[in-house]
Amino acid sequence: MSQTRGVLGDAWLMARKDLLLERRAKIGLGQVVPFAILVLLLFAFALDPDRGVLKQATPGLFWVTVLFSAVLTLQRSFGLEAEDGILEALRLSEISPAGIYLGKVTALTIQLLLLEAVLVIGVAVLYDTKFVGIALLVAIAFTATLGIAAAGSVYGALAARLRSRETLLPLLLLPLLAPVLIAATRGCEVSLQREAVSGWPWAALLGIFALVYLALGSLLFRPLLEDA
Amino acid sequence: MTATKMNSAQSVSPAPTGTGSRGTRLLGAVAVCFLAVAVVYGLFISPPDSQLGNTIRIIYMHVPTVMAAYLAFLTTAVSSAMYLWKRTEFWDLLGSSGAEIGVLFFTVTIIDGALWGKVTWGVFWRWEPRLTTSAVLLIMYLGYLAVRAIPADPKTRATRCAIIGLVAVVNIPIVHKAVDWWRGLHQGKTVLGTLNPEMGGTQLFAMYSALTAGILVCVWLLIHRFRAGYLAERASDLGLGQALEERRLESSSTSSGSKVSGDDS
Amino acid sequence: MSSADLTETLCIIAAWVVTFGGVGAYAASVILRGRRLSKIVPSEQRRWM
Repeated sequence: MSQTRGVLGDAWLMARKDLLLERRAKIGLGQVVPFAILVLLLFAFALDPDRGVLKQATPGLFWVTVLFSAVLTLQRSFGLEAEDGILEALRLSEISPAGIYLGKVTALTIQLLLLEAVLVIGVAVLYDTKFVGIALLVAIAFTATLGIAAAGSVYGALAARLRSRETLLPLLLLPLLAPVLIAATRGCEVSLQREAVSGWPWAALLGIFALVYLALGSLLFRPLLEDA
Repeated sequence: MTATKMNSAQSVSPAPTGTGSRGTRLLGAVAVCFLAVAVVYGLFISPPDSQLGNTIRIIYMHVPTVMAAYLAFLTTAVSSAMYLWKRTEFWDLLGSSGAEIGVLFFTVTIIDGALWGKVTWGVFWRWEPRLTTSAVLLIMYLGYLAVRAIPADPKTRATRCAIIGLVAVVNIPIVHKAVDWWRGLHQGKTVLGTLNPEMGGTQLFAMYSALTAGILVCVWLLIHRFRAGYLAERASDLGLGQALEERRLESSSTSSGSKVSGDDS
Repeated sequence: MSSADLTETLCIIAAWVVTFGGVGAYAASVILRGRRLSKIVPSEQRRWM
């Protein structure tokens, strides 16, 4: 049955399951989004809106918030499965590991993109950001999010079975995502016309990151599920 | 790894009392020679650099340690891939040894870089590309060591670490590129950027001696750490074997005592 | 010796001390660990190339 479905079919199956689960549980909407808005508020408390630092740092603060929210979403996404033994069930099923991985990545990307959409509104309202260079912004948001999901899904699955996953996942994932943070922030700064250079190289770097980790994750998910 | 000849006592040399062997003793001796030359030339004979002044003496340490670190991490990377392919203990031990040694050398690199910065910039830290990249990579591999330390059966632990090893190494060029582009707009005196390419004579000699010494020491450490890891695995197998043996003795003594009461399946 | 020169000399010495000291301490710990483990592991399993 799964031979006819293929990897992409499996991926779609997994992604649908995750998204349906999320729609039912509404953890993203009920917990992660408020958390993200809260982080924006915390930054405002810390950085004093009147001194202009907040406005200047907006792209960076936005992406830091996205990173923290992504860690929470990943913990949730893989934590559930590890607890209920679903990872074992998946391993024994006919679904290809690469399909499971890509499905997870797809679901996570969609969830994070939705979160970012809300955050964009938050940032526009709270930090009074004016948006220009939309094409570049969208390209950056998409590639950065894909990269976060791709790399995050590997470590998310690895950390899921460990008791210390709450502390281990950020420690493993965030240094890995450092180039994503750098590239996304600098790219957004360019797109918001804060800098006079081209932002597309940053988007290209993000694209490379995403592709590299998508490929690596697809290859590594079988040993990860079976032996890690 | 282990010799399989079990001849009579006369033809087999006594077992080593540690992780050393003739090969490593030779390697160590050669490394010490290069180190001695590096110390003498680096600290005393070579003159202060025309651009860097006496701080080049710190660079004599900084460059070899960063090269050693990269050699160690490269070892981990290759070992991680090989482990996932061949699934032998050899690659797992080599990979984890490389990660540990890489972390050691990277830490030293960062400290040396900070000390160089104190003299050159007046501060211990500047967000210049090499130091920044090193900090990120260091934390990535600290994560590797953290996962390595989690008790698990050897196969599980090895697979986890191999995955982290590959995921981390693939990120190294990406981090380099991102940080270089980012900090490239703010060029100041970078740690390596101002090395005089026409460094000649005794300075070049000191640098190459130190570099060779650094690589030799790294390889020497890798071998010893690998063997120590191997012994640790054998020791824990032993411990496991003993525990099983005790359990077996226990159950055989209790079963002989409870034969009268019959079985309870 | 000016204070800048003093800082320079101290930093240079510190760099060499940290490098040799750090690597040396690690090397010593690995060697000692190897010796300790060698006592536990039977000799047939302790053969190096």
